[in-house]
Amino acid sequence: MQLMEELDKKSKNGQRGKRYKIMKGKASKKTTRSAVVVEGLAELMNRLTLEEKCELVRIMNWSELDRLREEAESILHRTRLGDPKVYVERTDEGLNFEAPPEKVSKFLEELVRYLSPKKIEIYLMRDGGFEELSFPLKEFMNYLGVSQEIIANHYAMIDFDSYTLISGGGGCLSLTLLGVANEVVREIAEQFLGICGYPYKFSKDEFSAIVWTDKLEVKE
Amino acid sequence: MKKEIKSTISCFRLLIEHTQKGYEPSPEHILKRMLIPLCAHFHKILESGTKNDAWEIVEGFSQECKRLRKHS
Repeated sequence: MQLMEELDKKSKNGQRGKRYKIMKGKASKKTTRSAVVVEGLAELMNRLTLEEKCELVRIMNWSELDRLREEAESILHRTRLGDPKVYVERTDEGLNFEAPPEKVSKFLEELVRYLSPKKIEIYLMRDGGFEELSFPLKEFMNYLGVSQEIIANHYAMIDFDSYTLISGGGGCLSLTLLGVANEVVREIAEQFLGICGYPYKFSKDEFSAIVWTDKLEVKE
Repeated sequence: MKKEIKSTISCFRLLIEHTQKGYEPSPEHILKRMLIPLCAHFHKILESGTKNDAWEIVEGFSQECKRLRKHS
């Protein structure tokens, strides 16, 4: 109760407002609500006076609170927040990608070389409506040449015979590769990383790779 | 399967896949790349689809949900 009165007093003196401002400053667009809670908890523990800490431990165990903070911080560090520059991950059904939009067209060119489809069908969302397009392989390459911007920035479902690529636009891609050998799946992922400027050879079938700023981080 | 049905289900799958990633994507990314396209698909189904199309979509979503339960 005394602690609450003390905090209330500080609030009236503007100190609490100042604290909030600091926390708010740290909470960038990339910070989630849970991150704000962790930061707030850490900051609260750091800022409490000895008297306030004594008051708090009457209500709850201090070491328990400290353990809670450490646990929360470790979860926060394990879970990176925001949108990476480059990402590739092996999924149950194929591969998941995040690519710079300008690399999408080149990647699709390489992809058709691996999948060698006879027919390519596109279901494209544009200007609030949907378009259906169908091409033999050669014509698709020509289409890619002139429609890079459309494919890179709009939602599209692209069927390469029985394989399907979903593009949310902006380089957000998901590829189903059911029945494709693990070695080929790895090669496609490696090809993707090479196109994005981060060549790497995976040694295992389960993998993910991510670039936040410039460094490639790989998990296998 | 009709393109609009397959695409709607795939769009939902893309959303689910984003919950399985090793990082937490931004709300803007989820909105722009998945939710807005998903809403556009729903709009199209309501506008020109049949009740059977809607049912097939729900069945497709349910299959994706089963997969999600395996992971959670």
